[in-house]
Amino acid sequence: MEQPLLIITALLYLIAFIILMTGARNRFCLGINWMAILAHFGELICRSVSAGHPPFTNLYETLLLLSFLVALRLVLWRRQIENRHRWLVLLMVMTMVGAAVFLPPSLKVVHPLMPALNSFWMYIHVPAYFFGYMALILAFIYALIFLFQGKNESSAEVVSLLKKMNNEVKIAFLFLNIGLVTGAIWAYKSWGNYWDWDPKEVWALINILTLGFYFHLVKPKATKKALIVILAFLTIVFTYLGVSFLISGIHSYA
Amino acid sequence: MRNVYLRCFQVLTVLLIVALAVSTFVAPEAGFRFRPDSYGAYLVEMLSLDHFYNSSLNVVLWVALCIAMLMSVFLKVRHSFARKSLHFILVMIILLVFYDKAVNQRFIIPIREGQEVNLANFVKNPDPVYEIPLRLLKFDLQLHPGSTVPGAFNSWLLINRTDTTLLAVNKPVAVGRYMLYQNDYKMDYLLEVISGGDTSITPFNATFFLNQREIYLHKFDDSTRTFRIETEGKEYPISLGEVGDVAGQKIQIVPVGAKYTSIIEVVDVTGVNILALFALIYLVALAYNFWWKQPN
Repeated sequence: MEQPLLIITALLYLIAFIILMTGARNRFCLGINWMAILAHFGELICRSVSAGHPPFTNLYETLLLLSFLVALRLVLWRRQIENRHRWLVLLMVMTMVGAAVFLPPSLKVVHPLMPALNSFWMYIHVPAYFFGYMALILAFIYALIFLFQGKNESSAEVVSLLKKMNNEVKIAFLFLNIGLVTGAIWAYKSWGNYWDWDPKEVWALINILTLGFYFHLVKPKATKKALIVILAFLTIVFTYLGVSFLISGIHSYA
Repeated sequence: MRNVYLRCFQVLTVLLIVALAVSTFVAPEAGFRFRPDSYGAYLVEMLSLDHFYNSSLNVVLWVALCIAMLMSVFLKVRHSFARKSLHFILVMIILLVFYDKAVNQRFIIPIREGQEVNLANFVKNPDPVYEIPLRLLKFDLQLHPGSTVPGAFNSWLLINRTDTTLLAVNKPVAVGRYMLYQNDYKMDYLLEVISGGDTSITPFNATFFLNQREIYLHKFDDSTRTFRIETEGKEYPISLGEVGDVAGQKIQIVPVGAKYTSIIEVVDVTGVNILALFALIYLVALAYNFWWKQPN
C-alpha cells in the first residue's frame, strides 16, 4: 500500500507542477495539489501504522514528512506565495518526494525503535526541527527569487519579498532553537548528557550560529541577507543529509 | 559602538562555525586524516581541531562571544529590555554548560545480576553521604518481536538495601545529587572457580583473585576441550568440572550460566535543572523578541 500511494502522490505533484507551468487555471491546480496532499497524508499514515511510530526516525520517513509540511504551507498559506513563484515550492516538494521514491529499498525498511527513541520528547524534537527546515526552505526560495530578480530594494514587491524571507528566517531560527533545546532535554532524560558534541548536534549548532549571524549584520543589505539565507540552507542540507551519510555518531540512524 | 560589538560577534561566530565544522571531519572517530606532513595536518594540530571540543580554543571562543554579548547588554548597545534579557540568558546558558561540563562528575558502574556495589567507591571525592549500596536484583531485556533490537531493558535495583527501584532507559533514578541512567547492558557466561575454601565468579578473559593470587582465565579452548588458567606467568589447562593443579593449588571450574551486567551511568546533575529553566526562558524570550518587539 505504501509504495503505490507514494507513486500516486509523486504523480499528482507532477501533474500540479505541469498545470502550474502551463499557466492553466489556478483553482484546478489547487485542486490537484489538495489531492496530492491527501495522498501524501495517507502515505504518512500508512507508514506510521506499519512502523508503529510516527514517521520521524529515518531518512525516508523524514523526507516524506518534510515534503508534506512544505506542500501544506503551499496550499494553506497560499496567498503568502505569489502565483508565479509557486512552481519553485512545488519543485522543492517534488524533489523530496522523488528522492523518497528512488531511495534504495534498504533505506526504506522499517527498523524497530531503540529504547532511547521511545520517548515523549521525540514528538516535539523531530517536528520542531522539520518545521524549522520547512521555514528555511521557504526563506531559501525567497532568497533565490530576490537574487535572480535583481530588482530595486526599495520597490514594494521586493520589500514584501524580503519581509517574507525575514519572517521565515525568524520561524526557522525559533524552531531550530526549540529542536535543539528539546533534543538536549531528551538526551538528558535518556543518557544524562544533554550535549555530547555529536556531529549532528554540532551541525545543528552551526545552523543556529549561521542564522544568528543573519540577525547581527552591521549593515543589513538585502543581498547580504539573501546570501546568508542560502548559506544557512546549505548548512541545513548538510546537517540533514551530509552528517547522516558521511560522519558517524549517535544520530546516524536519523 | 554598536557596530564594534556586532563586528566582534560576527568574527567570533564565523571562527566558531569554521572550527566546529572542520572539527566534525577531523575528529578521530570521523576517520578523515590529512597527510602527516601536510599544511592541513599542521593546522589541525596547532588549533587542536581533532579534539576541538575539549580544547582551550573552544573555551576561549565561547567566552569571548559571551563577553561580547555581555558588553552589548551592559554598555547600552541594545536598547530594548527584551533583547538585553535574551542575550543575558544566552550568556548564562553558555556559562552554565561550561560549568557543568568542567565540574560535574560522570562515571559508569557495571553491576552484574546479584552483585552489590557501593556508590562511594566510584565517586571521585568519597564522602560518607555516598555510602549507598546498589544491588542489581534482576535485569529485564525485551527484544522487538522477530529482531535482535532491544525494545526495552530495565534494571531492578535495591538501593540502600531497602528500596527496590526500576531503572529504565528514559526513566532515570535520583540518588542524592546523582542521577542513575540505564546506559547499556552486556551478557557474560560466568564460571565459578573453586580452590580450598575460596571461590570466585568470573567471565572468560578476565582477571580475578583466588586465595590472594592473581589469576587470568582465558576463553575455553575448543581443540583441547580445556580452560587455560594463567598465573605467575605460567599457563595451566583445566577441564570443566574436574579438579586441576595450578601452581600447587587444587582448582575446579564449574559453570554458573549466563548473567546480565547492567551498565549504569551515574551523573552529577547539580545545576542542570537551572540550565533547563534558562533554556526554556530563552525560547520564550526569543519568541517574544521576534513577534512582539520590532527590531532595533
